[in-house]
Amino acid sequence: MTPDGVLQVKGLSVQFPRRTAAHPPLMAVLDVSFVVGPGETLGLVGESGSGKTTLARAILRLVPAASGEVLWQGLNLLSMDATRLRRQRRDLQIVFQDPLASLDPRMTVADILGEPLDVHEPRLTADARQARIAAMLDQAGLSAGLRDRYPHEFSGGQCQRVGIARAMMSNPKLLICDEPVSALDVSIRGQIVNLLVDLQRDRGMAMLFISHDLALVRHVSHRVLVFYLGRLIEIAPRDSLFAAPMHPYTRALMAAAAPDRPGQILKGEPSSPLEPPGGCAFRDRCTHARELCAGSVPRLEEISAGHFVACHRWRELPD
Amino acid sequence: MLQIDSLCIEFRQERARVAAVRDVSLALAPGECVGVVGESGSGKTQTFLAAMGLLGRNALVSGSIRFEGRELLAAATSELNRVRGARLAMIFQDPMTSLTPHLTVGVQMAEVLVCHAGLSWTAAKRKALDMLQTVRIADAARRMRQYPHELSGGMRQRVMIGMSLLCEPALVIADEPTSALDATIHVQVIELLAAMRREFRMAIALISHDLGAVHALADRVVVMYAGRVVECAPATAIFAHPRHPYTAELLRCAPNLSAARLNRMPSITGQPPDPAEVLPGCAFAARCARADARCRIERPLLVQSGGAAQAACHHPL
Ligand SMILES: Nc1ncnc2c1ncn2[C@@H]1O[C@H](COP(=O)(O)OP(=O)(O)OP(=O)(O)O)[C@@H](O)[C@H]1O
Ligand SMILES: Nc1ncnc2c1ncn2[C@@H]1O[C@H](COP(=O)(O)OP(=O)(O)O)[C@@H](O)[C@H]1O
Ligand code: SF4
Ligand code: SF4
Ligand SMILES: [Mg+2]
Ligand SMILES: [Mg+2]
Repeated sequence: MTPDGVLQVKGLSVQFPRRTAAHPPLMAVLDVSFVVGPGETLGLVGESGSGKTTLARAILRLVPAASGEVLWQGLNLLSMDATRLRRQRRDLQIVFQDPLASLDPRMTVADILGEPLDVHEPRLTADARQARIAAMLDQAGLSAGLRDRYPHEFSGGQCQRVGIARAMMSNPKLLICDEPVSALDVSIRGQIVNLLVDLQRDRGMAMLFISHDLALVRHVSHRVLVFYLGRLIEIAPRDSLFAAPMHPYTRALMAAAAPDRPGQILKGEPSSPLEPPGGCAFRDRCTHARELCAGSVPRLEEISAGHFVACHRWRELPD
Repeated sequence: MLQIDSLCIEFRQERARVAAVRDVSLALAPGECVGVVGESGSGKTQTFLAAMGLLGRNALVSGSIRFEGRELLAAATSELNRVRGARLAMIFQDPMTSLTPHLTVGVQMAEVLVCHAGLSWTAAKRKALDMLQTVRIADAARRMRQYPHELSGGMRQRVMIGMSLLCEPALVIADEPTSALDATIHVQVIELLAAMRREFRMAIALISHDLGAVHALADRVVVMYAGRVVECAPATAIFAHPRHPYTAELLRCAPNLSAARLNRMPSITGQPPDPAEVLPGCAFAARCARADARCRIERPLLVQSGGAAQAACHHPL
């Protein structure tokens, strides 16, 4: 099988050193493995601070990984030299969570969109370059009159459209979206998501879609990953996850988003990644926790076709 | 308590003037929560930045903003600084750009108390720590010693919320306070704001795209479109029976996990008008199913439209 357009993450861990050497490092991402196929959208949800952004950044080598592999079309991005990495990076683009902070304040929108073209298609004529920029502005729902404006002159929503347009300029094969629409109002959110879904279908682009909006994740994703304190705790095809979430945290998350769903209402503090509890990381807050949950970290087990969950007691949980 | 009258904000550009806020009037009573919703770019943030005296340098402002009897638009910077942070606080949409990158979380929180409440550093740090726990930062003591970039987006947002509540302000302007939070913490933050409001009789201006949060917290809702208030009504009324076609469309687009999954995300077709353009008629006409010839030439004014509701539309629903 040619691994064309396949992203494979294997045993990836990311840690951040602590200022005082006496403390162990903060484990932001711990032994995470998954695959994204060509044209597939993988949703990623989880507690705030659970390592979603860090995972995205580590895949693109924007933060160093402590261990593991990131295979893009069969090549390990983590061990690649800078020149080859740059060539691959054209295929892999990211849209950040923080719209304003991720745009260069001294560049106009036209400059921002032109930059990826200058890097990846330097032989483009000036006219063709302008045409590409104009077409992208239109597709992203930005009026042509905005092209000479600077990022700080935009509302949060407009900034995020610019971020998406910039990422799309180099025709990526994999687009990582880190909360791409949380700054947008719901009507534009719909437009942008429909745009992303269309682009994905037309260009066969794969997506890793990070969001706190579960209705949105359900809308765009083929499969969904759930994170808790740096670990993958559940992974399943979309319909299976939303119809029958298994992990107690996943259930709590859905109950919080849709009060008519069953699941415990989460009380207490989210646990700290600075001092994660031993065993199951969720056990401090889990109403189903028993002694064995403190004993060892639960491993992912397949409970139905393609649906994996990391919980010692999944067999005993109520339906 | 807060009274905004005929507020206009224009931004000078190289070639044109951009009108971001056009003749906006709204008022907040002590302890009241007003939800502000509407199109991205419709001027929600700029309206309240004007109250904080934080508009960009290319801004031209007219109208009046009175807070606790004081005119904020005419106030000298030193007076504004006293009001801001102590009586009037803002939680920003963009936590990373509003926290100071080179100060630890603990120092920037304590600094607020030292400057505005005259506390000693030791007392200020203790209070800052309590506040971090109140906003559910796990391991608060250690997080105090970290820098903003070392926190996740959600944690930064909670730090911002905690920081704004430190001096127990009379009015908190919360600009998208929950959009970076996961559903479980989201619920907790809304509860936290509700509790703070009950406890301190604090007023809240909640600018949000999250209609669920607005529904849960607001007494009244203001809907903005293209720099103007297009509808203003009690929360229960607006969710049950929106008058302005834009409001109705916005509600139709609200994501709902309890409903079946749709093939397309609902959205409003078309774009809002370019803020540099001056349109004679209704700004929503190009996207409105009820628009007629009158809508394109005559701008609708905000008028009473059934009960306590006001709408700016020639053909309200
Ligand atoms: N540069 C850094 N230095 C130290 N710690 C960091 C750094 N960046 C992130 N962390 C820590 O790593 C953990 C994961 O952070 P990350 O930003 O990946 O969370 P997230 O899942 O994206 O959260 P959110 O949903 O709130 O955006 C957090 O505990 C955070 O404090
Ligand atoms: N410094 C500035 N110069 C020019 N235009 C600006 C400036 N700041 C904001 N704007 C414009 O003002 C309008 C309203 O922005 P804002 O209040 O942030 O919208 P929102 O309703 O999404 O909060 C937008 O069209 C934005 O582009
Ligand atoms: S392993 Fe135990 S503590 Fe963890 S989620 Fe399952 S039941 Fe709860
Ligand atoms: S005034 Fe006319 S165009 Fe504007 S919202 Fe009402 S019906 Fe639609
Ligand atoms: Mg994040
Ligand atoms: Mg805003």
